Amino acid sequence: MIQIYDTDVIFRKEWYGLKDINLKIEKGEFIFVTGPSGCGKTTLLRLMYMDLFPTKGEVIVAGFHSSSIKRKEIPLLRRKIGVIFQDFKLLQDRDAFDNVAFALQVTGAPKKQIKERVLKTLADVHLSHKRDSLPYHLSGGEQQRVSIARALVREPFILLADEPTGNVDPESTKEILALLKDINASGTAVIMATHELALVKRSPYRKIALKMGEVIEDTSDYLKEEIFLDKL
Amino acid sequence: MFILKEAFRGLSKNKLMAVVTFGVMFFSLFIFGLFLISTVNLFLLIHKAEEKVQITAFLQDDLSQDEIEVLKRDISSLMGVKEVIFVSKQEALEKFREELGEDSELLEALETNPLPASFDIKLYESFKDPDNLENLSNKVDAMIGIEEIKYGEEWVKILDRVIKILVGVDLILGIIISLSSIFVVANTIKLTVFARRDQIEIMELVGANNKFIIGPFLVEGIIEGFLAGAVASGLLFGIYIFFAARLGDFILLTRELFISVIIFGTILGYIGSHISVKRYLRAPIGAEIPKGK
Ligand SMILES: Nc1ncnc2c1ncn2[C@@H]1O[C@H](COP(=O)(O)OP(=O)(O)OP(=O)(O)O)[C@@H](O)[C@H]1O
Ligand SMILES: [Mg+2]
Repeated sequence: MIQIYDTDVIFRKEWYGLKDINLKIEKGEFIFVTGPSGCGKTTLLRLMYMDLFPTKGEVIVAGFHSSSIKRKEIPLLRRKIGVIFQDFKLLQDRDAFDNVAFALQVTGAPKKQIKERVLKTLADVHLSHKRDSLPYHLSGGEQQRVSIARALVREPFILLADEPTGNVDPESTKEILALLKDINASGTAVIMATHELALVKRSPYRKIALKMGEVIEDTSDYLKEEIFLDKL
Repeated sequence: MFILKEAFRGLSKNKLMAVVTFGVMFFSLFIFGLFLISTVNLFLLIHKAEEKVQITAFLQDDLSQDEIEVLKRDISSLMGVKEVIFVSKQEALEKFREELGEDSELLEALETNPLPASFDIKLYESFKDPDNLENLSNKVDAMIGIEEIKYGEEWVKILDRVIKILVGVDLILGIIISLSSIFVVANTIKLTVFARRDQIEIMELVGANNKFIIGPFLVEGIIEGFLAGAVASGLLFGIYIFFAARLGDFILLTRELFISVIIFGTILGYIGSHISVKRYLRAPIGAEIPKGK
C-alpha cells in the first residue's frame, strides 16, 4: 500500500533529511514513527502524502509513483489520505461542522451527501454536540478531534498523524489515542509520528525509530526482507 | 456554487482588506479613465488637425470646361485622393470677400477677378504624411493646366512630428499606467491571499482541485474590480458633466469609454488575483522538490 525504496531526501548539500529509507506499510497497520526532534519524522510523512518528493529513490502510495505522478493527480492522492497535525490547521472563521464539510466542499460533493457524511463523522469523534462551535471555543483536544473528523470524512485508507498529541493535555492525549485505535480497528491504516516515547513503549504496535534521517529500528523487520525479495 | 459562497465569505470576513483593495483599484482605474479621456480627445484633436490638410491646385486661367473635367478625373484617379472639389474663379472671389468682411469694398475697385480657379484635393487619412503629400503634389503639379500647388509643407511636417511624439508618449504612458495598476493591485491582493494562506494550505491538503483553490480569489478580484471600475467611471462622468458646461464640446466622452474603465477594472481584478494566488500555491499544488545533490 505504501512502499518506499532506497529513498534519500537531501535538503541542501550534504544535508540529509532522510537517508536510505526502505519501508513497506500494509493495509490496516498501526505504526508509530519515533525519534528525537529533527530526526526526519515529519519529512517521512510528507513523502507519503507527496508534499515532498525524494531526491533519490521512489515512494509508491496507493498506486501513485513519486517518479511519475502528474501535478493533476496529486489532489486525487490527497483525497485518499487523511492528514492531521500538531497545530490542527482548522479554519478559524467557521464552526466545527463547516471545517469538516470543507474537505468535501472543495471537491464539489453534493450538499446532501456532505451533510450526511459530516454528521456521521462528527459523531464518530464524539463531537456531535459541538458542531456549531468555532475552533476558538473548543479545547485543544476537541480541536484535534475536529481535524481528525476532517481527515476521515472522505474515508481515507490511511491516516497520517504528525505529533497529533503535541498540543493537548494528557487526558485528551488518551482520548485521541483511543480514537486513533478505533479508527485503525475499522480498517484504516494509521501512521503516527511522535517523540513521546512513553506513548510508544507500552504499545504492541509496529514502531519505526528514526535517528538523523535513518531508520535505526523497525519492529517488523520481516518486511524488510520482503522488500529485498520484491526488488529481486 | 462553493466558489461563489467562499468568495462572498472572503469579502465579508476580511472587510478591511476588501476596502483597501477596492480603494487601490478605484484609484488605479480613475487614473486609467483620465488617461483614456485624454487619449480619446488627443486623437480627436489630431483628426481635426489632419482634416485641414489638403492640396490646393491652382489652375491656369485659360482652361476650357472640358479640360477642367479631364484634369479633375485625372487627379481623382491618383492613389490616396478621396475627393476633388472644383472652386471656380467666382467662388474664390466670394470666399475672399467673405474673409475680408468690411474691407470687401476694396474689391469693388478691381475690374477683373484676380483669383484663379482651383481644385481642393481631399485625401484619405493614411495618405496625409509629408512624403505622400509631396509625392502627390509633384504628380499634380506636372499635369498640364496646373499653375501652382499649395499644401503647407512646413506646417504638415511639424504636425506630423507632433502627432508622432504625442502618440508615442500616449502609448508609453498607457503601458506604464496599465502595468503599474496591475502591479499595485496584485500586491494589494497578495496581502489578502497571505492572510488566508492557511485556507489554501488546507485546500491543498484535502485534495482540492486548482479550480476550487483559485476560484474564490478570482471571483473576489473580479467583483472588486468591477465595482471599483463602476465607481471610478461614475466619478469620471460626474467630473465630465461638471466641466462639459465650461469647455463646451471640446471634451468628448463616449459610453464606450466608461464601459472600457469597467472592463479594465474587471480584468485588473482577475489578473491581480491570479498573479497573487499562484504565488501561494506550493509548486504547483503541494509538492516540494528538494534541490540537494
Ligand atoms: N524544507 C526544509 N528545508 C531544509 N531543511 C529541512 C526542511 N524540512 C526539514 N528540514 C530538516 O530536516 C531534518 C528533519 O526534519 P523533520 O521536520 O522531518 O524532523 P522531525 O523529526 O519532524 O522533528 P520534530 O520532532 O521537531 O517535528 C531537520 O534537520 C530539519 O532541519
Ligand atoms: Mg515534525
